[in-house]
Amino acid sequence: MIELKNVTKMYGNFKALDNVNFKIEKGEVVGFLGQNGAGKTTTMKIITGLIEPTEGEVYVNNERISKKNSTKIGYMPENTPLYNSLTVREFINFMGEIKGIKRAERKKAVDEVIKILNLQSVEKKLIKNISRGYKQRVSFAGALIGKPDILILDEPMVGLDPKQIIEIRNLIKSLKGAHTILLSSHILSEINQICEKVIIIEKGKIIATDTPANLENQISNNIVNITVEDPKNNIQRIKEKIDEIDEIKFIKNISKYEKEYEIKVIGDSDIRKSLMTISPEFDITIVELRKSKSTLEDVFVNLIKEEEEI
Amino acid sequence: MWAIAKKDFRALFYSPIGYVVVAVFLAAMGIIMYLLSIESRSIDFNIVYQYSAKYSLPIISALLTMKSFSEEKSADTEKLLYTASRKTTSIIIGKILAVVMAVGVAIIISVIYCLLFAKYGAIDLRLIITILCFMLLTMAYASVGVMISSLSESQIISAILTTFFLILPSFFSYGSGVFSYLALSNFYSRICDGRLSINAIIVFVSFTITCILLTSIEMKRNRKFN
Ligand SMILES: Nc1ncnc2c1ncn2[C@@H]1O[C@H](COP(=O)(O)OP(=O)(O)OP(=O)(O)O)[C@@H](O)[C@H]1O
Ligand SMILES: [Mg+2]
Repeated sequence: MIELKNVTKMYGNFKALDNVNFKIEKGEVVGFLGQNGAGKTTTMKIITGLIEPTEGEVYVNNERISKKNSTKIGYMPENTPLYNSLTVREFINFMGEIKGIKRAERKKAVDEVIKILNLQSVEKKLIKNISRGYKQRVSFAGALIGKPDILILDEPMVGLDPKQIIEIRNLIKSLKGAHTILLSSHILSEINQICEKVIIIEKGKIIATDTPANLENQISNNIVNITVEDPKNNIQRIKEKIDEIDEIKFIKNISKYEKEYEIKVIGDSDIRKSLMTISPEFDITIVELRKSKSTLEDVFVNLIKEEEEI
Repeated sequence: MWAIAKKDFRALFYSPIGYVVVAVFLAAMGIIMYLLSIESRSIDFNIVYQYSAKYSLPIISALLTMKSFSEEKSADTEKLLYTASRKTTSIIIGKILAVVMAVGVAIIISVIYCLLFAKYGAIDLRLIITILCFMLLTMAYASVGVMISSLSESQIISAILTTFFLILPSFFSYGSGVFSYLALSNFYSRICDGRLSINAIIVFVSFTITCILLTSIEMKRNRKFN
């Protein structure tokens, strides 16, 4: 469990975090989303005890964070800082050792994370000689060794190729339940499949906390994309017949006869059937009809826009 | 603590620094021995260590400690240390130990010098005490270097400042001013002269503890204001 209460962080006169509140329950996997400079890393550093908040409190498993319970947290910092002069195995062993894992149990623990992260093929290589994708996993391994209750992962997937992103995603999925996980990203699609909750931060303020599904519905502007043959240019007249239509916007000419429009609908009724029945009255032939759903990316962009308008 | 000491020790000998420092120390020792042998036929190793403590130890301490925290800071790996280990003081002590171990390598080799030249001088209890106290002095010097390196991301600045702080007092240490207390090599000289001074040992140890405390205060301050 992680809880932040009224956390504010000043860097000199600059307010990096402004009254941040959120709670992550035990076993949850939570995505932490924000643009560059939004305050993700700052928040994570505060949770790990690396820096202290200017105001507010942080609780980990119902205790205020201190050095004593910091070993319950596995932290993967951004930009994967590692010791280049150690081999992969030596590094993981070192992380286990400073976390206080006894010598007798350490070898087993190291073997285990090497297996979980598929690092067998590089375990004897010096860290400076392995590829970026492997470095990222070694850093993850350093966080994971010792089975901490809580994992704080700062952009664990940045710079990975699609195949590796899927692998890391599956890994995080498999850790679900056994660990409470907070992972940050700029890209929603990267994390929405594995997180049951998303926290969105912008300019140091939390602007949304919800499930990916609820966020989608939150601004589910009901939009229908339609491609028509409309020789008499009657399309705007459909509005007279269907009250729920808010706006019909021209998008583009598909061919000489076919045009694409976007229809914005008030409320959440489905107007596709009415469109089908009504369009012949206006000599409109529907070539394609599709209900478009707002994606989480839209939600994200929208929330940030709203925030800027305030 | 040991984990950090081992890691830093390895890093020193992974880069050329460790070897360079051992070589410099032994070369300086050779020069001191040569100069002493001009004056007299027998070499008193107590005096060899005394001069080493005064002139070469400050420089090699600076070279060995310049990476301690500066490198962790610039590579951002200090985050790993601070979040994973329970106590900040054990990080600092580990870093000091690594330097003491590296100097220890040089000292072990220097003992071979002593054995080779034993027909001139003699290895006796007094020399053993001199050597053991040399390690304590190294610990005190290393703690200054580690402290200074915790203030800066730049290794060069750390090295220059450390050398400066360790060598400077010995130039102003005549008489009984403040500098005479900061000039740890003066205390060491007494031991080399054959006066086993409990005072000196207390000074070395308390000096080290003070540096460790100051370093840990600096680290706490960093957490608050950074
Ligand atoms: N030590 C510092 N001193 C001054 N300002 C800082 C410091 N660290 C971060 N900041 C500022 O605080 C803000 C938040 O930074 P933070 O690193 O938390 O953002 P982020 O969300 O992690 O961004 P990114 O996605 O780029 O990693 C930024 O504007 C940054 O410039
Ligand atoms: Mg960041």
